[in-house]
Parts: sequence; structure tokens; C-alpha cells
Amino acid sequence: MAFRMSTGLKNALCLEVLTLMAGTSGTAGTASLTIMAGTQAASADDAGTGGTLCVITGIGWNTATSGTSALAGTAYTGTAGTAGTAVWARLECINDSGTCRIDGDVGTAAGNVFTINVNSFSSGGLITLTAADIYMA
Amino acid sequence: MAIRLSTGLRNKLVGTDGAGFGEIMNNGVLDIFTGAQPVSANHVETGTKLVRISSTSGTAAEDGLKFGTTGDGTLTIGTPAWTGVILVDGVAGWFRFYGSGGVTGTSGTAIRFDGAVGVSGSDLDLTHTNLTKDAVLTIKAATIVQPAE
Repeated sequence: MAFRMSTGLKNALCLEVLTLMAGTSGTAGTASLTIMAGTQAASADDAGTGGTLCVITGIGWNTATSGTSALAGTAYTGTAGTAGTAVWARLECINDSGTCRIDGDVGTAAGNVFTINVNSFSSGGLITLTAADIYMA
Repeated sequence: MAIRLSTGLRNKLVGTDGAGFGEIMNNGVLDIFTGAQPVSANHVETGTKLVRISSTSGTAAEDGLKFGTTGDGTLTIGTPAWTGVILVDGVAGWFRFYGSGGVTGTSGTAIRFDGAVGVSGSDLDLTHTNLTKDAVLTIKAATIVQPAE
């Protein structure tokens, strides 16, 4: 047996996360995702490592159904400031002095925490975030 | 690599400020049942209800359970004491915690969570699971933990 949350509780907790990160639900969200090279920080409390390649802003999520909040709208884009290989990314809270963070890997596969259109960035290239589900297991 | 959450986010998620776990579940009640835990917290309760844990043993109109302080992604139980009078003899197997105004039965929208009851390593540990009618059961310590990874 195990600790299990109801769908209603999962949805409420997803709303708390997306509200912290994006200010509100839907396409009016203002979350910011920083995509970096190098090795993912050992803790989300640690400073970012590896160098920033691209920052995607104005990200929002839909309210959750079945314990999962998907991106609101089809995709969010940013321009790569530096060439390099994207490895991981950090979402930072916009309303709590940057202390609320979610780190995860980036890649073109659906299994990545943050799904983007390309791994190898060219300076000035357009980078697209296509999926970044917030979910409660 | 893995999803990693900062301590600030973990505290917000489990806390009683904002709309975290503690705030959502504050003023709820906890029922303990016999038998096996349902496979989903959306499913109807199974087994026999042995006790309702509340802040006033389930006898007052305002008897919701309170959560306590948060730190390092961990939420503690609060005061008044979490206590209840056992309704019927039985062996505790699992629990369900209902949010304020808790909804019983099958539901896809009710706010609640379930866990196993045991004496060690369970979601809710008791000193023993053989509960006796009319005895008072008090939950003296329990924590909700949001892992960092």
C-alpha cells in the first residue's frame, strides 16, 4: 500500500505550482525557463552551472486535469544567445525572489522534463519549448 | 538527470500559507479503516471505519485537524491534538484524510489522500493496529514530506 492523493488534490497542488511559477493559469502566464549547457546542478538550491544558452519567457500552463497541467497554447519560443548543447533547464518563481525552482533535463524526446525542438543551439537560433508538464504522481 | 525542486518550492508545496498541501487539507478529518487500501483515493471507502481522528474526538461541530510548521519540505501536524474515540474493535489497515467538508464515496473531484497504517515504515504508524472500542487514539506525530528529487 502507498500514499495516494485524489485527483482533486493533485489538481489543486498543480494549480499551486503553476501559480507560483507563472502568476496565473492560461496563456497570460509569465514563467521563465533558462536553458543551460553542462551538468545539471546537484540541487535546485544551488546556483546554475554550465552557462545559459537561451531564456524563454511568458510561459503559462492550463489548469490541471487528471493531475497534470500542460502548457497553455502550442509552444513558447526564445532566441539562443550562445551556441552550445542544451542539457538542462531551470524554471524560477517570479514572485518569491527566485527561491522557487524546478530543474530538469531538456531534449527533443517526450520523456524529457522539458521538451524542446533541438538540442544543438546556434547563436541567434529560434528555440521552441513544446512540452513541460507539471504533474502530481 | 531528474526533476529537482528547490527548498523554497518544496516548502510552498507542503505549507499552510498560499495554497499548499497544508492549507488545502487544513480543517479536515482522518478516518481509519480495516482491510486493504483502495487502489485510488478517488474510489469508495472499503472495510469498516474504526475511528475518526479530529481535533475534538469527532464530537464538536468545529473539529477540523490543523497542520503545523513547515521546514525543509516537511509539514508537521499541529494543535489541538489529533485524537478520536474508537467506534468498534478491529485491525487498522489504512486511512483516508478528507479535506474540510470532506466528500465520501467515489469521486473524481474530492480533496483527500489515503495511506497505509502499520506499526513501522507505514504512511501512518501507530503503536499497535489492534484498536479497541471506546479507547482514545491520539496521533502524536506525523509528517508530510515533499522530496527534493
